[in-house]
Amino acid sequence: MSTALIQADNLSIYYDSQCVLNRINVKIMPKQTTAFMGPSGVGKSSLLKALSGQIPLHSGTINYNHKDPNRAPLKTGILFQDNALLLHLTVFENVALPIRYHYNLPEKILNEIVMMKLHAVNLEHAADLFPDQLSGGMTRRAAIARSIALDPDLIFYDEPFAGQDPINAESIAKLIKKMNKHLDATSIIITHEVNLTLQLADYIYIFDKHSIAFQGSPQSVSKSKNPFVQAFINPSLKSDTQSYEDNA
Amino acid sequence: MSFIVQMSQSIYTQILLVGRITLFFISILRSFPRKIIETYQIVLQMFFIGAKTISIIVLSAVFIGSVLSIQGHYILNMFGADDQLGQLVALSVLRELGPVMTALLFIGRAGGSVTSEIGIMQLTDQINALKSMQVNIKRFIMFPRLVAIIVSLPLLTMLFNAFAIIGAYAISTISLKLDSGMFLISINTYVSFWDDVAAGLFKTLFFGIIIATIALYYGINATKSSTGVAHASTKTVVYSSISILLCDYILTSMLMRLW
Repeated sequence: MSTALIQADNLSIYYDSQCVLNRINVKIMPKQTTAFMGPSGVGKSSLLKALSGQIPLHSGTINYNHKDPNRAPLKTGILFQDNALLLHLTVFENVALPIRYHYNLPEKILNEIVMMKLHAVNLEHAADLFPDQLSGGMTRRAAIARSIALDPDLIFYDEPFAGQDPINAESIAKLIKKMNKHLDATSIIITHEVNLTLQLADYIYIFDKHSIAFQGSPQSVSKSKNPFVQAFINPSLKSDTQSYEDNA
Repeated sequence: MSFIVQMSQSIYTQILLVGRITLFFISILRSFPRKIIETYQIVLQMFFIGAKTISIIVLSAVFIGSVLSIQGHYILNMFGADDQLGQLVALSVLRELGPVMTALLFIGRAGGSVTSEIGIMQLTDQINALKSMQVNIKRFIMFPRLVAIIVSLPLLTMLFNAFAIIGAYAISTISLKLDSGMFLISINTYVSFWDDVAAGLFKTLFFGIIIATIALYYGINATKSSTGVAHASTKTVVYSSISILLCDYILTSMLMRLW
């Protein structure tokens, strides 16, 4: 059995005195797509921020299978929920920025690399456009292109399907699948989108009330008898979710 | 008694704030660019912050010079000394009006915009995105803006000085029918480069440091909401303006004794 790329043990996250996540254990296996799912406000985004080193831990440890155990792997890419493209730069310059910053490449080679990334997300035609000139789907794809600019080993996707119509969401799911295959990367996805995630993920964590309610493969999630998981993955059982929450 | 306690707490908070802003300034100064892309940001920011402020500075300078000329002529005429109008305008502009008015206009145009820009970058996760790409925020965002403001302000003040005097000269010769030779001779006779021109420009270096540090501090510490960014911009404009006027008083007192 291969070693986990990231192993978080007894992880707790607090904002001031408010508990967001309480003593959870998470393992991210290399070259796999791991999804964190659950209702809003259960701490999924906070977990992603903690794993990517954006926020401090209240308690617990995160171990990275990397040369320097004290920091996250150098090559990480993050797709932010709001895309977070730099608004004063064109799509091309947004994708080129991390490459320009870290490598002193001749402009011709840089141009080829960036156009290759834009080709991967089917945005070569929008290279000279600014983020405010793009549609929602194009903006998301531009942000994906930037997140893979440095050929990361680990990619964090924060709500990649949020605010996208079903066709766009489907194409973004395909794109993520394609990226993982071509880059041989490990992916962590935070999402509410059940159907696409069940097709995309290798392993799923479902969160409820600041802890993990269920974890397993997509097949085991689908077959789970856990009432919360059942209610979460089947929208027609929404009323049951409500009664479950009321009982809880 | 509670009034005294509140006053002391307020003074203590303000001293702490000044301390924090000073440490923040020192930490930016230590983040000297190491990469070409970081150094290039200085040029880019000088264009956005400095060059794009030129029009407002020139326009304001011409009108302020014109008004100063009309008001100065009204007073000097009472004493039959309207041949000294050039001296009055030049000394007022070079010593005080130029540096202070340029700084105040600059705060409104560039200081507020730097705070809003960085605040919005925080709000929309652009700063986090840069951090996730291992981009050094102080070297890439802060230092270039600090240098751009400190370099731009004296240059803009020179422009303000020149156009205010040109405006005054135009009004006094065209509208007030004064002798153009007398206007220019009185400037040439009474204006000293070191005492008047250099002393005024020297003050703008301090003004630049104050405006840049306050704008960057409130931008990066803006609360992540639209009202948070608006409050941060307001604080930048208010605190920078007050600090500039206070600093002007201190520097003018010192320069009058030393120079």
